[in-house]
Amino acid sequence: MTGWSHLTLRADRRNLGEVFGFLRQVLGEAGIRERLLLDLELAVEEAVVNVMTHAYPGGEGDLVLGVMPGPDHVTIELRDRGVPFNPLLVPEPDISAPLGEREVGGLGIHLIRTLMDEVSYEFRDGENILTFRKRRD
Amino acid sequence: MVSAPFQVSTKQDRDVDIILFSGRMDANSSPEGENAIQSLVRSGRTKIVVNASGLSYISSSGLRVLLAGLKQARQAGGDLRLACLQPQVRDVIAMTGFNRIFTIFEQEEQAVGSFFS
Repeated sequence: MTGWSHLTLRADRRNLGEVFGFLRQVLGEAGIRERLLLDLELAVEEAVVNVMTHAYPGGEGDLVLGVMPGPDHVTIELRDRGVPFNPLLVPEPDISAPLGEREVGGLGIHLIRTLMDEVSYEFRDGENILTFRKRRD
Repeated sequence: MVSAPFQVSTKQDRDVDIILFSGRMDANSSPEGENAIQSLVRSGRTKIVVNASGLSYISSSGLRVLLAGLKQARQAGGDLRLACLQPQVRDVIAMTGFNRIFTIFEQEEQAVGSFFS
């Protein structure tokens, strides 16, 4: 079974647990090992929390999470109809900066880039679409 | 697999406070960890060891909490040291370069003892 599974929910932090539950169910049924599952959960949390926090300022909206555990890769797609935002344009944080100059901003997208094999973004038909892929090992 | 909820407990060894984190430290649970660290720092207790032996998962929200605690503890003349990191937490800390700003120990006893050496 290698089709897409989708979860649509309100972009609200209180729904983060539902996101994890969905991921664990889909990826668990696909036989994804725990260590890879943790990497995917982290990438998804960083992306989803960003949408939940910033996509719909002062309002409400949905996000759609798609997961496809293929034979060689797991592909994740996150869509929202909020403010157009390309996370790949966020400057890389200086991870060698001393403590006094350390900022946490940008760490989320840095983690996604580090953990995933491919990350892409497009804005199409009013939707932010962030896609990432990770090899199964 | 059902993942464990985030839990916090604290104990003391002489004037060092040990905070045990277990479960998952994500965007929803991190404020609970933040409260534990903040309540120590606010009461002037700034020699802190975070024992993460039961912590299976951390995201940037958890890292933010640890970083804020470290800055405040050091500004007050103390430190926040880490012990017993599990694989996911150790990897995330390395990926973000936090291994260069935190002092990290294999065992809780070593981390506590480092405040007396």
